Amino acid sequence: MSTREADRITAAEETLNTLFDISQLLNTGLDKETLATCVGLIESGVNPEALAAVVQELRRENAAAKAAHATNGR
Amino acid sequence: MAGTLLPLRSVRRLLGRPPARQAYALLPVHPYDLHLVPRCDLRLVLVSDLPKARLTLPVLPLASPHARKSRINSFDVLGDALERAYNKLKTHAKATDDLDATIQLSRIPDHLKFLFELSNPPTAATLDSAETIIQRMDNPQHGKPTLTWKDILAEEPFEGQHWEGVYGLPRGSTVEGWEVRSDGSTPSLSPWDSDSDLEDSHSASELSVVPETPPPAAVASQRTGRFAVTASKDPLNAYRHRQDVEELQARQYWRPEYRAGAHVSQTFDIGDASSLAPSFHRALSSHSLLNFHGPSRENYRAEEDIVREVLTGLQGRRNMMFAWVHAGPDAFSFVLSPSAPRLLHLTAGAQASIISSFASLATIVVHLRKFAAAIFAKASSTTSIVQEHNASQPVHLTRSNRRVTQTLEAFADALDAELRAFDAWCALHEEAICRSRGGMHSDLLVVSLLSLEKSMRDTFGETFSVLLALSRHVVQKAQRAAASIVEIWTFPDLPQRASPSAVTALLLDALLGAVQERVSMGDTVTARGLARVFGASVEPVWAMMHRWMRDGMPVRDSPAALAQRAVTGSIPDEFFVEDNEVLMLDPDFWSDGFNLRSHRAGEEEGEKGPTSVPVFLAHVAELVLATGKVTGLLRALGVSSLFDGDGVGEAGLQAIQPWMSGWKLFRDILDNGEGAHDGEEVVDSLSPAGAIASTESLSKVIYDELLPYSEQAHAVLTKVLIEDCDLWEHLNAIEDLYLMRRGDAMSHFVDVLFARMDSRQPWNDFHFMNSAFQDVVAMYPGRARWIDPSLVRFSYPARAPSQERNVAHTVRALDGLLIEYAVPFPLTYIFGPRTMRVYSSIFTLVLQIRRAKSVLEKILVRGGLFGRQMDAEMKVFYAMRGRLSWFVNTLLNFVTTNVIHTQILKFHEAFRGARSLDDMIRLQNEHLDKLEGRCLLQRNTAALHRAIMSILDMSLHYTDCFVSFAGDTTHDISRASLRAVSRRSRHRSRRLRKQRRDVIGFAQAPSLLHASDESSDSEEDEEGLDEESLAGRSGREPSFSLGASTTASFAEDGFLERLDKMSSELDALVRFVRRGVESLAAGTGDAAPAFGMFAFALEDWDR
Repeated sequence: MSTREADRITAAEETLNTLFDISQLLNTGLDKETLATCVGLIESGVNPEALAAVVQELRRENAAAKAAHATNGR
Repeated sequence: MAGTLLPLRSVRRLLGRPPARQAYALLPVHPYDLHLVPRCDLRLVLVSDLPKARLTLPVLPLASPHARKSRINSFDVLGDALERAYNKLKTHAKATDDLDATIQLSRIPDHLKFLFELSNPPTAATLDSAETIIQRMDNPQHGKPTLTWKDILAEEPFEGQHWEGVYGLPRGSTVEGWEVRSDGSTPSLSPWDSDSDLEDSHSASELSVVPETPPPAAVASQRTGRFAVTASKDPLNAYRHRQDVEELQARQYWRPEYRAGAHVSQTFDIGDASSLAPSFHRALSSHSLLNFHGPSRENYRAEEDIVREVLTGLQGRRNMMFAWVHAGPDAFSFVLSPSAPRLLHLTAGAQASIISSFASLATIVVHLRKFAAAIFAKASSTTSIVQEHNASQPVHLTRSNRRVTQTLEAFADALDAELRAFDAWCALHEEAICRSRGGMHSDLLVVSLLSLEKSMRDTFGETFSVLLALSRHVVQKAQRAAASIVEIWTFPDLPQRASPSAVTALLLDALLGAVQERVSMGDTVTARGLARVFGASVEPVWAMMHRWMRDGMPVRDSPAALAQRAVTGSIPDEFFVEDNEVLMLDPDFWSDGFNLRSHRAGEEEGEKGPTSVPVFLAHVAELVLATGKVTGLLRALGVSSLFDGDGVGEAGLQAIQPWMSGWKLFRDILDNGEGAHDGEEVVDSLSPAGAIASTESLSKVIYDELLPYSEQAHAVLTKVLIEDCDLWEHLNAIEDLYLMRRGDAMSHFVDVLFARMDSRQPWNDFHFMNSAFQDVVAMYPGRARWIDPSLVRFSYPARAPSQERNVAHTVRALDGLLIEYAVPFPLTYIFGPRTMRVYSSIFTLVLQIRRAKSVLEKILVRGGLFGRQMDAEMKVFYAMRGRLSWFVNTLLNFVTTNVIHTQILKFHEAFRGARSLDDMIRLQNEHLDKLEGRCLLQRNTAALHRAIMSILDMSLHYTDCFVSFAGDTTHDISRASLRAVSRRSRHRSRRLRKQRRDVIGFAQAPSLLHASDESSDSEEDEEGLDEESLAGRSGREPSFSLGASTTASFAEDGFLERLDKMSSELDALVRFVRRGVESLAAGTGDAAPAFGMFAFALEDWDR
């Protein structure tokens, strides 16, 4: 039972790794954690395009906030 | 649909893109920018295709555009990585079909879509990561071993070696412990981590108590230590690793605190060698004046350790025995290290003397190593520069950077090979020591410093010291330094003082000299090593010779090509052939276009011969040079028979193979040479230095190797010259023309010319001469034309008015007549400008003689017209004419028969046997020299020539006298016009006489009669008059006939005195000529017989 679980984890990890590779190759700028979160969100049924839009929006805001305050805003 | 979505995004892309790639972007619909195209494909696929394809197919259309786009943008790596990542995802998706998977396969298109939305153009970092990703995919670090171990354990729990140490230990039987031991790169998710957290911290805390240990040993001990800890919690075991470390450290003899366990306190025992050094030391330290420590302060080591250290040091690595000195008198050398450990059985002095001999060897080796490394560094840096600037920089700039010659590089390489052999030998010995210590050496192995020295001497002899001395010598010579340069490794960076070819020759000569010296001393070991180095160092020059002989000289037919060639430099600077940059069509090209370099490296010794040619190649240098020229000429002529191999069938050896494909490496020749010398006495048949032993035999071997090629090339060229270039036809035409061998036609031409002279018209008019010649040739059609008149051009250089001479008064007016014969291209090398000049001068001489002859013959002395008293004068005239024509005829006979005809026959015979173009040129030049010399045209016979000219002039003068004397009674055939004029007046004779007198210019030159009288007086005493004195005595311009007539005037002196004077003058001149010719005939040269004939003929003068 536990091996099956482990297999599953390994498979998921491998898929995630591959996705991360692709993400790097496409220069998306996502780190592994963020990617894992996003993958999780999409797995839960979030519309990928909408999520992408959100990420870009967040980045834009982040940049704007940095530019405005020259401080670290999250 | 695609088009509508295109603009915004692709335009944004375009702006961030390098301009060169916009061509792609300007396409109306650029498929690779369409991120939404795949999406519609996806829909279509989803609707129409099988359910099975639903997950895999979308991947492809999404994947390939990106990958292809990357490829178009020249990011092949990125494209590869993308494709492979997609494929991996695809296969993975296919493989695992698990509904409970964390990442649902049905979501993968969504994930990809998400990533594509966020994608940005690649940066350098992206490319880097692409590379790492590819690398990772190529070399997967799979976590499979975990599984296999588990399998093994699950199947056979207690079998196999790996259980042995673990058996019985409380927790050692767990699978996890083995896993750690077996695989260092355990994945972080491995269950071991979580299980052994506790122990890990435990062991870590224990280890932290232990003081830090040096890295290599420490790692090992930590590993063992950790194992011990995991195996048991016994506190004793916890320190076992520490004990191991101590044990290992105790065996590290190179540590300063190492103690060899020697009994330094024991008293001297004659039976125990190891008591020697300590007792000696003690004895010395007991001397209070010497401030010595006791033996216990000394560091003693076992001899095998010392030997090992010495071996390490000889390989140029850090060691305990030698110390490198940077300054002082012993700068740049190894000396015995002050902190060097001692041997128990040797006194300090003995040990120092043994070690210092090793130290000097280490110094030699390290110097050579540095030298080789410096040359390598220079060579590689110049090549990299060349590569960098290849496109942008003109080649001649990069070429000037290259200072290390190829031979020097080859020498450095050979040196390096020897050094590596030495290092390998040292390493082998070290290995033997270590193996023997580990008990793996079955035989008895004696390790001692002295045995090491002996075996080293047996293996390498003095190779390295000789090589170092030789390198220093070469560097010193090349730098023209007064003293020997110790830091030879600075040579590549020093300014260049000697030409590359000189350095090459110097190096090879020095090498060969060293080899021969060693061979003659019977030092075969050293000689063998040196011979290897020599053989390797010769190879570049050998290859250059090959290239030169195979490809021939570079051929330039225009100045532009010349400039270009000069820049690219097809001939290496260090090759002994020099390019003088002469155009190929230049007649001097053959002789001067390429020469052996003749720089002298060390002029202070006043060495003979060009030092740019290595001594052992000196005999073949000319051969190589000539062969290269022949090959180059054949290639330039487009003669392919030699290179295609069907040329000279009889040679056989290259019947099928291309030209010179059978070229051997120099090394092979050396081996062959050895074989050839097998039978000879001194040479050890095992030694590869057989042929090297003497320069002569080496030269001979090389010569024999090269000769067939050379002969073959020469044979082909000769054949081409004779068959295709009509050599003989042109030669015959030239001889027919210049040497008047074609009697009928040339006589006709000469008559035309003389008629022109007699009619007082400008005979030397360019157009007249050439058209006259053409007419004459056309008159003798014959079966075959003997000459092509269009190839011939007569010309007479315009002179300054002061030099203007009247052809009616002196034959010297003919001097300077030049006839050119335009030989076709390759023959110009044989019949060059000099040929034309010499032939022209001979032609002129013959013409002058014939002119005098024809003038004399035109006079008809008839008796009875003037009555009695005139008869006496006529007799004198008659006699004078006879004497003059006798001499002129004798001279003409000599020149035509004994000189020209004889020489032509000899020359043709020799020329037929000529086997090369060089032979032909040489023969032709010799032929010219002979002709010139025998015609008395050379500088050393200038006086004789002048005398002859004076006699010829006298003929003209005589004719004038006769005409003025006899008036119209002269039967002058050719002077019709003059006769016509003279008939008109009654008192013609008087007037004519006046006219003649006016026409004759009376030069104020000293009478040559006096000059020759003086000379004849002086010549009585010194019998064997040499040519120098001949030339010197009448060095003044002897304008003979005119000078003689200065004082004479027809009106005052009358003709008899005039003739009398002329007669005595002629007598003196002829005697002068006779004496000169006799002295020439008495010479030892091969011209003596010919002159002997002339002298013999002149003897008749007195009879």
